Amino acid sequence: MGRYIGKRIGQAVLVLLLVSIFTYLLTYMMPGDPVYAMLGGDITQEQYDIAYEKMGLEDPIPMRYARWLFGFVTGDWGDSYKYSQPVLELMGERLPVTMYLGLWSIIISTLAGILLGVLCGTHRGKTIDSVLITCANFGSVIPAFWLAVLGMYIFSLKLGILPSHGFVLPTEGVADSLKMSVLPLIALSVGGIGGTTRQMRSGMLDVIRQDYIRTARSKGLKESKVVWRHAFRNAVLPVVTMTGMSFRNIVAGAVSIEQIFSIAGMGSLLINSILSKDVAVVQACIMMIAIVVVLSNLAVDVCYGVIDPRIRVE
Amino acid sequence: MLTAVLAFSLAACGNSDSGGKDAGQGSGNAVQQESSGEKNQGGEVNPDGAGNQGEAPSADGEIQTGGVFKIGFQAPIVNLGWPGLPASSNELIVLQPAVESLARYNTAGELIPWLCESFETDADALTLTVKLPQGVKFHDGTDFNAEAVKWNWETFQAAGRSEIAVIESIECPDDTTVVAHMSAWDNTVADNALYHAGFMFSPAYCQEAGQDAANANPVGTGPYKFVEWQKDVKVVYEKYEDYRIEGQPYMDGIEFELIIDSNTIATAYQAGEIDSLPVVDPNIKQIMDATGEPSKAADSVSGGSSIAMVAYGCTDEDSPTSKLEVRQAFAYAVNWEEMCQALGGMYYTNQWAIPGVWSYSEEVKGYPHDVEKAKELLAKAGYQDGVEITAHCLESENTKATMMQQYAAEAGITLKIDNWDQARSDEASGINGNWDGIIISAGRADTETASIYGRSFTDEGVRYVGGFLHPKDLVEAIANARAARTEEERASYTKQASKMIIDDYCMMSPIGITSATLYQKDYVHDSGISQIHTILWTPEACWLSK
Repeated sequence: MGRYIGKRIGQAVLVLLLVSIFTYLLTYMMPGDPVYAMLGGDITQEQYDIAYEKMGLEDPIPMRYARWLFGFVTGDWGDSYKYSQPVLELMGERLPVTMYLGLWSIIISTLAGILLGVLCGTHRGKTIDSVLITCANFGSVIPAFWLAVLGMYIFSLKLGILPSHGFVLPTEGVADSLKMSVLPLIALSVGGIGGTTRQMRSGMLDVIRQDYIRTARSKGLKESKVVWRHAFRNAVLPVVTMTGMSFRNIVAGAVSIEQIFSIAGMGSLLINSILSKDVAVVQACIMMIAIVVVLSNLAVDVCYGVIDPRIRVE
Repeated sequence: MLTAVLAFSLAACGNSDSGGKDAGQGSGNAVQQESSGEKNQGGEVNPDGAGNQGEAPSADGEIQTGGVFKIGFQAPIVNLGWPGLPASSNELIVLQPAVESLARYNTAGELIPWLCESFETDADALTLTVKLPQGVKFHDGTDFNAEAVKWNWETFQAAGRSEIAVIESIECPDDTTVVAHMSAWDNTVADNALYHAGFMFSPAYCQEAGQDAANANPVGTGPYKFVEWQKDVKVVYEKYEDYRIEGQPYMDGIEFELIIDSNTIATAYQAGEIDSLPVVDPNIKQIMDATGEPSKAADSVSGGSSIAMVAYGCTDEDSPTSKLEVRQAFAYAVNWEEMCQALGGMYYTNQWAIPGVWSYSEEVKGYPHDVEKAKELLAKAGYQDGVEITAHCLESENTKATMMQQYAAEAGITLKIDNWDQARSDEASGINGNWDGIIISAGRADTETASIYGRSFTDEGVRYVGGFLHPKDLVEAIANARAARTEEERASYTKQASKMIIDDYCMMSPIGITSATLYQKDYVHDSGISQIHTILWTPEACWLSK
């Protein structure tokens, strides 16, 4: 297992290196001068020259990349042109917000999806199954931004019970945080709940017909024990994969929702930085997403081994 | 399931005062301008337009104090606290609660003293002399004096800004007098030094904190003190108790809520979470129009507006628009007035000037819609079988591009739309840029147009400068307008320049002057937002009756 994990970490480092190179090149290959992106078009030659030098654009791209890479691995992620502050400091402000919303949305999606999926799987063909699976299908295809706008319209504009924008962490006020989290969490979680419900239901239907389930029942085990001890553990494997994959959405998936609800998280930071060609921040955000994806994939593989001993042996 | 989730989510949440202030008066430059000293009771309309204006006081006739004024803002804010760095109109609006300008504009577009006591320009001595009030302090407790003004102007120049490049030295004979010496006479020096470079930041704080820290923490003499700037979230100000005008300000604080999404900001306004929406994009205007919300902006303002326009690429010889006849053909082909009306949110002009102000020329003929004339001109240019022109624009300008495409097609011009992002657009229209075909964009629209022309049609320009021609007669007219010693002379040269730009060289076609927009709750009084100028407002006089 140790060797396997070591090999995967090596691959992850290579992936991260490639991602960083491509992102760096792509950011500079996009049309539009970074100086204009930062200062706008209404600038004098003198202003242009000052900014050009400050941004270190006089060096060739490989040299700039090497300088950035050295800084990245030694903990100096550079400064944001746009925000005039160290990128690490900026990430320290934005990441907790995104992580908070993202983790809660994964927890809600996973737990609700598993419960509803088991319920559907164990009541196949009954009314509750039909209703829930229809809702799950609807939930998994509905765009998060549409749900966000709809929620805002109903709960903020018409009912006036939830704020339309903004976010604070619970450390800055539990009540405000709760109120401000509701709409973003609904928008972020509904798709996940729908997907997990469908996946879990499908897994349960596959497993529930297996011989060992019939054997368990014929031994006289309680139905709850049959479901949760024998069927669930085998049916949940694809859901674990799905949950692991959804970790990447903690950062990347929050982009539109953070824009809509005016939440200062990683998603909105990434969008604003791309628009203003704030290379150091774009690099940091993309690397953060890449690290989360690589680590979550690694975690999924390890979880497989824990849940299914056969994988560990292989 | 959706219903269940929504239900779950819902379950989870289960003094009166009045004050006065000095308002300046003035009538142009090259003369002495002084504060009138006239006391204006809050809430009354100030005929000079620099101070309190807007709606009447509350029913009992008195101004109410307290409350936090929440203003919704869509545009990104990057710079707030260092001379010369806040350049966009949005940034200048946001910093004004804390940072005051030396002068403001009145309804006639004239510059009048605000933070300064008076100013005087002398064309013979090539000087601008500014007198300052005594006893005014910055929020950090340091004195606002002549040395502070000198440092602000010098730092503004060091930031690479061109507006006061004509000032070659600054002296401070005493604490309340600043004299700027010019290298040559420029009648726009007062506008540039007292307004564009006139926002006064605390030198002591800026020098101690350094540029990056100070830029995020504006320290001035304004009625409200900066509290915090949560980047991309909000900018917060609190009442400054020791403000120089007794009795003001009236509110406890001001907050700018930075919300990028059009639907969200419109919802926040309609839900009463914010009190005012001063600068809105066409999407918000559509939403507001659909809900019957009227704009409370003045019908026209004297400055700070923008002009929607087409800038022709005149210098790229491979582009058909390098030929005058093609540019004129395009100008005749499009029905600009009809287009302006159809687009809404702007009023028509046939030149780069605001109708009704002193710099607007009645002599400019422009290009009234005439398809036959357009065809004739195309034929004359050798394009009797038609011509293809590229229209570069941001995606947000596609409606205009599509309308032009249809008009142009009637005259045999095929308009190919090429969407740029903001950085690409800024690069092409910036100092080292150039473009083929046309750019559909916007420019500044102020009363003082010679400065604006200087920024685009001369070698010293910064905007559209690579794609526009710099013909000698035009450059001379612009220089003469800026060097004029009388108002008549200044207006005459400015109008000559306008005529050359449109009629003689056809380098740009105006679509319309963007109307100021303001959606504001009825309980907000005297904010001055979009009443006189689209950038300058009156945070010190604003009060809430909710």
